[in-house]
Amino acid sequence: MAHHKNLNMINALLLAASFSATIFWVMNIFKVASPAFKSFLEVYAPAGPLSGLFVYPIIGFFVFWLLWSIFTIKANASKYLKSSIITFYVTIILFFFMVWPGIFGPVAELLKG
Amino acid sequence: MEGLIGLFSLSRIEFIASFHGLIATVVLILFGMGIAFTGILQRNVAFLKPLKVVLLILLVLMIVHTFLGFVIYVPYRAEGGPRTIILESDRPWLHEFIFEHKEFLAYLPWLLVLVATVMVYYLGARLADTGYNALRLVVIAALIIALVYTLVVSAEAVLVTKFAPLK
Repeated sequence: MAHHKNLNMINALLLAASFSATIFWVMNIFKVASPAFKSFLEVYAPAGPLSGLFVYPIIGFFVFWLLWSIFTIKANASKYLKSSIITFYVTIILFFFMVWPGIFGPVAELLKG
Repeated sequence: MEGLIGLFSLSRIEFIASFHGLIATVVLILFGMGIAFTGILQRNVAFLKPLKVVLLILLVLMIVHTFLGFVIYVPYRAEGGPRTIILESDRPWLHEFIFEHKEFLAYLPWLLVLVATVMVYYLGARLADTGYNALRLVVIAALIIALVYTLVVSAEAVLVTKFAPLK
């Protein structure tokens, strides 16, 4: 298989994309559940909270990618590759359903109490 | 000639919205090329160079496409815009379900293309090796899922804009 250094970078990339996709739909649920969080997401007022929903997961992607690449043990990279790939597949498929209003709406209502 | 004059009489937002739709169509061709080139990479590594070019163009177009989506989203949600028209109509679900899903789902395709592009550039010719089958499959899967999500987003956009177009 590939050199450990390469695999560590690929692990970081796949997990960063998974992290970014996941915080997107989680933040979207909190946006519906909390008016204060909705205001926080209004990075660019004319576009409303959607601007923050895009900006923060993009920042999260690059920060996660950088930190994971720097701070993880490169020798373990090949051992975790399979887990990274499975996490990537699961999160990007899950994303499709978690951004459907018929699913995130009731979850947000539950959080509201 | 009359059609050409009519084209130039479109408002700035109508023009951007049309260009946004045009990019969504062009990227479908590039998605197809990217998936095909990655699929045959193991048999012929010479396809790596065109694959890199295709993915780079695709990535740039996806980022421009997503950005333009944001530009036209502003007049969409403005007071009196298509969102208001839809919510006050007998089909509020067009915004509450279809458009909401479209605007959120549009976050992922450019990111998946970025993942595929970085992997192809970083791994290079090694991606053609048998030992890299799983990673080559990740590139293909990322492109296929990005393509499917783009098609869903486009179909949802058509549903909404046919009912309340941007002007």
